[in-house]
Formats: sequence, structure tokens, C-alpha cells
Amino acid sequence: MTAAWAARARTGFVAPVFLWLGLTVAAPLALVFAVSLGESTQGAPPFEWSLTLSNYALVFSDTLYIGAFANAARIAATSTAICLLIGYPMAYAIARAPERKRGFLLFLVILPFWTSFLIRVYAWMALLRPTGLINSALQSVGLASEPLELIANEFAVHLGIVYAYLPFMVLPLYSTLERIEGSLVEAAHDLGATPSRAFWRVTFPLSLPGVAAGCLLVFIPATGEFVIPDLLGGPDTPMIGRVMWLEFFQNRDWPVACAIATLLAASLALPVVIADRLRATTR
Amino acid sequence: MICLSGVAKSFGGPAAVDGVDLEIGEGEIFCLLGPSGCGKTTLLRLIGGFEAPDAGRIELDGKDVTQAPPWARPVNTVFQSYALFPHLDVARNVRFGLETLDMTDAERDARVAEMLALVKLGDFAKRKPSQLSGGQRQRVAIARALARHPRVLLLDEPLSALDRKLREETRLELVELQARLGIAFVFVTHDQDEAMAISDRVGVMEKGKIVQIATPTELYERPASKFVAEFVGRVNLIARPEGGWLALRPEKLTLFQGPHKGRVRECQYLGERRLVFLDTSFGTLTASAAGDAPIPANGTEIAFGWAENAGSVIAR
Repeated sequence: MTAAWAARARTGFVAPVFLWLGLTVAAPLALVFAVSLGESTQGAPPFEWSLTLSNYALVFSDTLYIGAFANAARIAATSTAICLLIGYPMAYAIARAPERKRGFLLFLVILPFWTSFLIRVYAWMALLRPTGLINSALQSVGLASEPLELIANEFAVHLGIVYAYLPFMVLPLYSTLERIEGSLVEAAHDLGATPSRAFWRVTFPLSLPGVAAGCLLVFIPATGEFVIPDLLGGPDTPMIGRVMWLEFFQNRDWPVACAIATLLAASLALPVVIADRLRATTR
Repeated sequence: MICLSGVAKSFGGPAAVDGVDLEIGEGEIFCLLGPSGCGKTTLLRLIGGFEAPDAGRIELDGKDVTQAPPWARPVNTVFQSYALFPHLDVARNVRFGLETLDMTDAERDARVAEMLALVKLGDFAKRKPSQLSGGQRQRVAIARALARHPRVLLLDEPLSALDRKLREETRLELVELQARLGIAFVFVTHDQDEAMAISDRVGVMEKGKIVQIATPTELYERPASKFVAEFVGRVNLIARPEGGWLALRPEKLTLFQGPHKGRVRECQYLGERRLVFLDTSFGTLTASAAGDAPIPANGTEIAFGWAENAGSVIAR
């Protein structure tokens, strides 16, 4: 009686979530997939419904697309690694800070969100460009004789991604590190472990769920990132997000753009599934 | 074995540990007893090396370890919440402390097996801590702490998380274990029954100071202060005309005989005995009678008294 009631109540609470996910995630994805099977035409909309795999064949046969996928994965991976290297000590320091200071430190981590993402990337352009703040400062103190190439290259893209996504690494790391009881580290010390040994044998393994969550939260959006490579990147290393944008808005080839989007979504679902499997087996 | 002199520690407020001198012998069960906030846990943490004293000196086994970090002290701790590593199975928890010792892997495995046998957990080597009961977790914590063959085992409220029946069983086992190993056990507890039941000596703490160090019998029969008398067991404090008090334990009061008169206010039946509360000219006194002894109805007046040497005089 009560169990049936509870089950019905649960359905009642969960149904709107699924409805929302269905309308905003599943339906658009299905639409994108459907268009990716279509054929490009001159018209509005610029495609015709069909059931062809030729768009996928094109994506897989042209090294431009494969290369852009590889670039995106590589740049996202190195950016994720850099975020982890910077974010872990940050999260660790915040988690170990006196309790009354933690709120303020976390506030500083999310402070950049007060400003629009786009404006912050434009701000980096202003800092990095040949006539920007950094170059003029370096030249005026005589540290550089001519402007350094700080923008329109992979360095700037890495910088932009690390800057923009660092909070997404810090926050999940913080939440796992903060939950690790201090007495576990003390127990490790008690059992003869120096601080570094206690860290690598106790703290770090226990923080792995946070590491995985942080890496996924950075790697996945960074792979499909469009704004940062568009504004800070150069023409040498196109990333897949930007290529997709070009197909859509410049070439007006919606089916190819949709094929890229479908492949991107599918390939990014893979690390999530793997992480989920790992979590299930370690539990 | 352990020698503290003038050890003090404060955390910015009043001293948590305030000039403690203490010697604990080899193979002794020593209990730090006191109410919460008296500094007993801080004192244990100072011995373990988790806190550094503001003043004073800590010696273990004749060596000055005042500044030594916990990983360089010949003591191990059983933490209050056990602090088992949740990502490691039982055997790996016990093995953890052996990995930094100069042993071969075979010796380590043998030591782990020996420790698990000691706490009767041989069949649970591959379980994770989350798959164990509270009592089993506590055994793992003890096995893990003993694996390094410490000279002293520190136990922070080791029984407080167990239910009553298990607690009494575990008390017995801990005393037997200590007798077998012959190393010193230093307990922290707020439970006077526990302290009395297992200790060779008890140090009673109040506001950061050790106010009395004595055997359980001495502590009960000859409390050094009003605080100790009231903290350890029930006591009647009878003010003396010349100052101070006469501390009389309930069972020392004789009912129906003696020079004094009192009115029965209330009786409480506790099974093996009965507590009788008497309104007297000294205030309300508590007497203890055998559970099957005849007791007058509430409100009746009865005689009572005590033998000449039944109480102990305390000055403060």
C-alpha cells in the first residue's frame, strides 16, 4: 500500500525531469542525427530529408575533419591535465583551510562567473594581442624588443581553456577532498607514513572520484569548445567545434555539420560511460 | 615508559592541557578519565604526536620525542572512529603500517595473518571496512595499530561506538590482549565504569590538569577532591564543621541503625541493589541497600549512620 504510494510519488517527482531532458536533450539530439542522414541542397532549410551515410563517409575520408577531431582531443587532454595540476593543489589548499575561510576562497573560485564568458575571452584578447597589455608592458620595461606571439596559436587556446574551465576542476576536487576525514591522514602518519606517503597512499586514492569528475567536466566541453579557439586560436590547428561552426554557418552544409555533431556527442559519451563503469566496479 | 613533564597546550583559549606531569610504566593499563573538554584527548594526541606541546617534555622509552612527528614515534593509536582506510581491504589496512618497516614481503604477510588471528578476523582479510560491523571495525583498528609492535598503544574512547553488551565483552578482551602482549595501553574515556573496570591506574583530568592519579580502588575509596569524588561513582558529601567534606559512598551508609534520623524520600530499584534517597539534616543523602532488603514506605522516618572509618575526608 505505502510502497505503491511511494513508487507513485517517486514517478511524480522524476517525471518532470525526464520530460525536461526529453525536450532539451533527447529531442534535439534526435533531430541533429536525423539531419545528419539528409542531403545538402540550395534552399531554406538547406537540406532534404534522406537516409544516406554519405555525410559520415565524407567526415571520415577528409583529413581536415579527422585532424580537427584529433586536435580538439589533444588540446582538450593537455588542457585538462594542466587544469588538474593547477586545480588539485588549489582544491587541496581550500579543503585544508580553516573552515571560516573556505567559503570566501570558494567564492573567489566562482567569482569569474559573475562576468560573461564571452567578455572574459575578449579580455584575454586585449591582454595577449601584439599591442596588448602584456606585450606593451614587456616592451616598455625592455624585456622584449618586439611583440611576442601570444595569440592566434595553440598556447593561447590552452591558456583560454585552462582559464575558463579551472573552476570546473576545482569544485568537484574540493568536494571530495573536503569529505576525506582528517583522522585518516592522521592514521597514516600514526602508521609510519610521512606526509608525502600519506598523501599518495590515502588522500589521493580517496580523491580519485573527484579527479574523474573534474577531468570529465573539463575535457568534454573543452573538446567541443568553439569560442576559445575562434577568438584565441590560429588557423594552423583547427578544432572540431570551430570546424562544425564553419560547416554550419559558412558552408551552410547542415548535414555534414550534424554528422560532426553526432560523432562528437557519441565520442564524448564514451569517457562518461567508461568512468561510470569504473565507478561501478570499484564500489 | 612514557614520561611527561610540564606538558602544556592551548588552542588560543584557556589551556587544553595545563602543565601535566605523568609517568606510565611498561605493561600498564593507564586510563585518562574526565568529562568532555577536560583535555584528555588532547593529552593523548600530544603523546601520539598529532599535537605539539607549547611547553614541557615528552619522553618515550627514555628518548625525548617532544618534537618528533607521529610517524617517528614508537606508539600507535586506535582512533575513536577507527579511521580505517575505506579504499583498502582489512588485510591491506593492517599491512599499511608494515610497508615502511624494514621487512620482506613474506614477513609482512605473515605479520598480517598473525594480527588478524590475534583479533579473530582471519576470515575477513578481503573485506572492505564498509562490509564490517562496528565491533569488527574496532578489531581491525586494533590489529592495524598493533602490527607495528608499538611499545605503547593509545586508545581514544575505543568502546564508545559499541553497544553496551559488546562494550563489556570487548573490555574483557582488551584486558586479556594487553596481558598477552605486555605493552602499555593508554586509554582515554569519559566512562568511569570503563576506567574502573580495566585500568591498573587512572588519571582523572579536570580543566587540563590531572587532579588525581590512583588505582581504581584508591580513587573510589580516597578521592582527592570533591570533583573526583563526584565524577567517580555516587557520593554523599557531608560538610564538616572544621571545613572540607566527608565523602561517603552510598553503600557505606547503614540504614535502620545509627545516631541520625532521616525521612525516606524515594526508592529506586536497580535489580541487584536499591537506592534509597533520604532527606536529612545534611541534605538529601543516597544510600544503597541490597535489592531484596525490606524498605519502608516513602515518608517514613528511619535511623541511619555510618562506621567511623567509612568515609574519607576531602579538603577541597
